[in-house]
Amino acid sequence: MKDSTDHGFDAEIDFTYVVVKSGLNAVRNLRAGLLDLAYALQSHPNHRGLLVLADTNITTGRMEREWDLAKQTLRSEVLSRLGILTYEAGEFRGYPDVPPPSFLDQLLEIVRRETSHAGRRLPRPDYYSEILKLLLCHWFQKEEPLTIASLETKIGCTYPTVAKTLDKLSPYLIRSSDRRVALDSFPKAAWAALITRGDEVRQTKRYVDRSGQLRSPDNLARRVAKLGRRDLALGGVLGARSHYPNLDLLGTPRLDLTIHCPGQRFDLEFIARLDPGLVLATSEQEPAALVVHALRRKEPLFSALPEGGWRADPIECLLDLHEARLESQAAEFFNALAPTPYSL
Amino acid sequence: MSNVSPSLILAKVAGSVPPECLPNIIIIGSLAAGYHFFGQDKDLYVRTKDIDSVLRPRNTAVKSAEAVAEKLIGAGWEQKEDGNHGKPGNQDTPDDKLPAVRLHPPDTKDWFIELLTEPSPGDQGDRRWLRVKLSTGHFGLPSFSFLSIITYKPVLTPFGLFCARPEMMALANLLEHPTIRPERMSGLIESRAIKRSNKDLGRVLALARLSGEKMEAWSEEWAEALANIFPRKWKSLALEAGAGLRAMQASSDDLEEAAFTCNNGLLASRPVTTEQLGITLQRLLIDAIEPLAAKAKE
Repeated sequence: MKDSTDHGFDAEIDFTYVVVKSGLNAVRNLRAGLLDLAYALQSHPNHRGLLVLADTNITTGRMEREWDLAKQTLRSEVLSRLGILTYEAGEFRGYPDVPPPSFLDQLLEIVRRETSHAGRRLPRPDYYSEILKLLLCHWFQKEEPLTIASLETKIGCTYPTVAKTLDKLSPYLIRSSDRRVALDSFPKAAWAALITRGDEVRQTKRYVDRSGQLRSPDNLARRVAKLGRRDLALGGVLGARSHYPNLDLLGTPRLDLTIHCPGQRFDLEFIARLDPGLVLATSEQEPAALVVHALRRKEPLFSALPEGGWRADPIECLLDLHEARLESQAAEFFNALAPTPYSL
Repeated sequence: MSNVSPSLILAKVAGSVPPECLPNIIIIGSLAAGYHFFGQDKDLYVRTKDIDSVLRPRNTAVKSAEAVAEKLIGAGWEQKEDGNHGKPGNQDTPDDKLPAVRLHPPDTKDWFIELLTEPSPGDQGDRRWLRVKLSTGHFGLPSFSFLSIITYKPVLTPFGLFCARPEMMALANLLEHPTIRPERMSGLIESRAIKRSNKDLGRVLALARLSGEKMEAWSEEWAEALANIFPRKWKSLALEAGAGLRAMQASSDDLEEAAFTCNNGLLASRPVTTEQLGITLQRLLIDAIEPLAAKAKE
């Protein structure tokens, strides 16, 4: 096994260039990964190329369609040396097929290295969504309009990125003479799109209990607080309740955590110590005990809880309620915090 | 093994011994665990056959044992004579060959009471015996070094006698088994000969599982008990407490045996898979054993 990082690949096994993408959810990134490999194979006629998608949210059906599309698009001479593998819950699935076990043994080492809990690599942040969430947060909390410069700082992006986003949101914005901006009204369509793409934008990971002795969300929350980490904040029902104690819901169905990861690393190693009974869900049908969301902007806007630990901002909590299908609670929470009455 | 109701057995034992001895009796083992976890529910049972009863303090234990045993014998309780060292001894029997006092109630042979006592301060290693002379012969009151942990701050029951606390029984078993020893128990569990270490460490895991979130406070209780009972060496004991469980964690066969004994004992009504018990083991390491070691290093 060779280290092929100089060529932009994660490794080379038996004349096969390997690229591992962890947590990749956007089809365009899948296509980009395939094209990168196809370009390389063009100039290396004795090599093969393998794109490995670990813990992807792209469905099997979508993957098959993408592979069919690649077959129609790429030259057969290149395509015959190209392949995609998905790796989920310890199992490989291959397009067009799965390599032999001796190859997989070597591959597994690379996948584990690239997807270790300590350093799951995140894609580029979705700055549009981050800016939208921040503007919504300011709108909710009736805060002063923001300067472009402060948006750049809080989000961690460049002026052109901010400007492009503000252009998209312009029907909902007010701009002051000193170039400050704020939401003037609720951007319903943008919000609906954000909810739809929430898992992708926030790199949502669901964990289920395998112990047969589920720990309560309150217990998990206390354990999170004990970790003393400033990059972890309660969201979901617990977070929403801390912003709005009258939330009409008995009990807490699960724990939602927001992890601040402004860089490229999604550190999930703490979950094994938070509760060894939690494992990554293999199906969305399994009821999650813990759901983790990445927050990519530079400033997390977490606030301290009186009992210790941190809570996420109201927008993250609201997105969590939608993600948990707690629609009536989401509407109630929204109306309790919205500056003017509004129907979601 | 028999299915017994903890509350009913405790009531029966308490009603059969001299009332003045009740404050000196601490029930340990499965029955104590059963009382703790299922005591409120008369319909829940514990699978056990021996009702281990520790007599304290040690300096009056022989006198208490004689009073308890003679009253029970007078009421028709009979010595359990099967197994090794079942027959009563006499003045020529060496202390370490004396049979323990094991008495069946008159109406059943499903279970028996066994008398033990606390060790002397500083007692280490194997069992020590105190001679008890009864009308039926000579017997021994066994003690072992970590029994003083089991009897630390026991819980008073409404029946007047005490029950050991689950966390203290767990700690004693952890210290008793720093490795998985190869010796197998002579008594079979569902036709299987189980390693003693797997049975006892399995008990620790069952207690941890049944304790749920309360297990997260065990390290505090353990540190206090160890520091009080073994003031000079408590730190080294605390640092060794997880060794046996870590050995079990590394051996799927041993963990499976532990799960098997749990499912035929304390977890009979809530059986676990080997994987689930492995998770309980990890939780115990993270939530109690590592914090205990951290306290010892302070």
